[in-house]
Amino acid sequence: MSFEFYTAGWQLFTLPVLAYMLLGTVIGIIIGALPGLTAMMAVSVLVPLTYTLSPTAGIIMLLGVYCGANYGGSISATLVNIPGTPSAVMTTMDGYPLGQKGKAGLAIGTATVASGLGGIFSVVTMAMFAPLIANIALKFTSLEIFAIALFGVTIMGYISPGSVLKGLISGVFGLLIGCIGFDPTTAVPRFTFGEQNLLSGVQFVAAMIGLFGLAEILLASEKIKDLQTRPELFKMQNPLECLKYLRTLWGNLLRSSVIGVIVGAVPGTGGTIAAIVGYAVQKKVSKNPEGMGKGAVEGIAAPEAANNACCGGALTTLLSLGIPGDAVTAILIGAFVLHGLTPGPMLFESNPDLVSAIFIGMFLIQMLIIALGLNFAQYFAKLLLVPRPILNTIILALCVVGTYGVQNSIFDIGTMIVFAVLGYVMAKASIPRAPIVLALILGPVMEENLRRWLSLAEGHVLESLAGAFTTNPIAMAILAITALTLVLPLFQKSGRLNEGMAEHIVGGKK
Amino acid sequence: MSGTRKMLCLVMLLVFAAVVAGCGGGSDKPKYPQGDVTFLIPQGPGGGNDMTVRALIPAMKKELNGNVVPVNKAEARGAVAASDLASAKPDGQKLYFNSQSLLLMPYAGVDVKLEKFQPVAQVVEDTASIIVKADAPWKTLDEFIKYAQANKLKVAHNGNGALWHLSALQLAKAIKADFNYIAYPSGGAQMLTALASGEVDLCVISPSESKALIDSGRLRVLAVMSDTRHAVVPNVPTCKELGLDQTFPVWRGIFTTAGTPKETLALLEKAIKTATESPEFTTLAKNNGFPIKFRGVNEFSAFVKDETEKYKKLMADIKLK
Repeated sequence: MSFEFYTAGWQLFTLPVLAYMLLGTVIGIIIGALPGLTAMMAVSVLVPLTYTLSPTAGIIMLLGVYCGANYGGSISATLVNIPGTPSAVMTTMDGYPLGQKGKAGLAIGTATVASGLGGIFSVVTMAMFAPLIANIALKFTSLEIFAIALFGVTIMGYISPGSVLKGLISGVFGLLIGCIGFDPTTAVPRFTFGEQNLLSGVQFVAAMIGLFGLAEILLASEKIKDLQTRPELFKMQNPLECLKYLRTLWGNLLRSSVIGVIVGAVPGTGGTIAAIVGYAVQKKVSKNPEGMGKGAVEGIAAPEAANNACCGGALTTLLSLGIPGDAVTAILIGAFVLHGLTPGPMLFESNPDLVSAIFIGMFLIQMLIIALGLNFAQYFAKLLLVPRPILNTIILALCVVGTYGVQNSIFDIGTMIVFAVLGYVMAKASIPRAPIVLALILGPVMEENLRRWLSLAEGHVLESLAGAFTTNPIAMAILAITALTLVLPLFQKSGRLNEGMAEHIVGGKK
Repeated sequence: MSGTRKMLCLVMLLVFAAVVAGCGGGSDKPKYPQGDVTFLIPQGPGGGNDMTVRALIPAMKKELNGNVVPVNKAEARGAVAASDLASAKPDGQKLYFNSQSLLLMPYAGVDVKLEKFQPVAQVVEDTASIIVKADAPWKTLDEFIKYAQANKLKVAHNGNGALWHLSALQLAKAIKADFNYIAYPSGGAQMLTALASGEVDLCVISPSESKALIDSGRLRVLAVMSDTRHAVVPNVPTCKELGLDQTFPVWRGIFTTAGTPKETLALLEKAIKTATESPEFTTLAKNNGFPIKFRGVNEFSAFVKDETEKYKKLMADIKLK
């Protein structure tokens, strides 16, 4: 693509377009930060409203919402341990502990810079290698996606500090919950007990808001006095402090961004899986894996870079193949069509300046996220100054509204409450909650793709697996890494597994 | 004291005025619509059905001289929206939009009382088509059929007993081939990705859904399963032209509750017909590449009956397997 192509979009950036871009990004960040309101919901509600705008303004605004929301989720994850969007689940692991140490500014700053840089990386790769990435995305067939999901699942046990056993209990329970609903291959309802509302499985957002949002409020209401007398939390740190850590994070950011772009580009995955895999890989390669989950900066940077890089990846598949890379881009197709455009490779020929404007817009949106995030992080964090009873009441209302809003279902609110009670009990028993969410996302993906690969093998499973070494080298490589990471700790002198077991036995009551 | 009495008088006067005005309105206004008409969409906002309904509404409002409100009810795979319509008062105040997915719901374990549904009008008629990878060895439908009879090809579908499973089954039966059916429960986009990546050999799906991949030369349509050629691929022959008498219409239409008075149905039919000719709707159809097809109450009711029978037979075939 020529240089002219990259600059052709500039002419479309009139003042109103820039204004809508800013508006979209701000709306996105706010919606992302509010528990229960997700990027998908925001984009789908706004699609019909962009009808009156020009195609450029409408699409750039929606992209702002999409990227902004993906970032905004990290704010509530850090401040109140509630992931604002599903893709911020992994950010709670380290963001919240760091915030509790009185460094919420540092945590939000890191999330901001990591998100922005991850996003910028994805935009640049998208602009330069769109066709190449699209071809890689097509190489990810059922076996590859199964391998990614399996790799993500293997970190269940290590996902939080403390007992490996408890992590596994939580994760396996999540896998079981993930089995509820239609069987992916035969469409036979499983474990629904005749309940129509369970046919498509447990609504994932409802479960997540219950486990984290409502459960967190239940826990907080027990120690109201505690929360009001912690002045060190209110003392805002400078968010720019994160720049000091940047030197140590480059490798992490680059790796996580590459993961994000690829996971995002693969149809049928998305930001949440990108964040999980980014975090998992970081934990495997970290020099200080024990510190992760206790407020490590690297544990915030990895998932945030990955989930924002995912936007560019997903958009790449949309623009170069016409296939949505994740759930939000699937809705974005609607926005394109509304304006008479068919996303796909033909768009590069029919509307090159629009494609160019999308690249430029995405880049500017990421800059906006960094600028807004760093400037306003301290104000976001001031939310902690709001008396906890008031803050919790607002969050409680948002939890209910957000859960209902996913598909206007009262049943989902019930689901949320059940999971909140579960989350409360788990927290009391110091069983980590994140593995359930992880298993709920990855379990169905893993099952669907494994079952599909098995039916494609037509009964010759071993032959197909042997053949996969030549036909699906990517899948086999991921599977090999997974196997290694599972087996290696057993041979290490002070295997983390043993340590975890010991901790479980000794430190059961914490 | 007198102030209170004055107030009371005023209130009574206002109530009286309101009642009188209400009576006057009642006798002047037509019986339908009585207040807002609710238009149920069994999917979330932003999807194909949602956009179609929202494009129909402006002209319907004008025509009915009343408000029409779209309501998205996606929970429980659309079962809630369906039972909402089935249990509504039969006065045409509640409308429902869906494709033939509605007729397939009972087979998918969704409890829906189809006998409570009154077809009002059809607005879209798309078609299934036989789509293969661009570099597939078969250039013509004949070559494909011969190969498919001798080899077990892998066909993608969107879930056991779902629409694109039935279309594939119908084709298999017609050409006496045996396919290996692979499920992609997320639907069209996922099936087409698998086809483009070479994981499966064919999809029997609508050309509109595959527009981007066809235009970019990654996928190729061998034949369309309709009576006339398709706007997205005007150069591709129909199955009939090639001597294979098979059609698989893919339609969307509007339903209301059974027992709605004939006059109301007639009003709705007229309003919807006008709406399908409105610029909002025709532009949407053109952009999406789906063909507009209007069928009124009687025609659509008969059509739905035929389709129900057809699916019953195909579903019996699945059960036998």
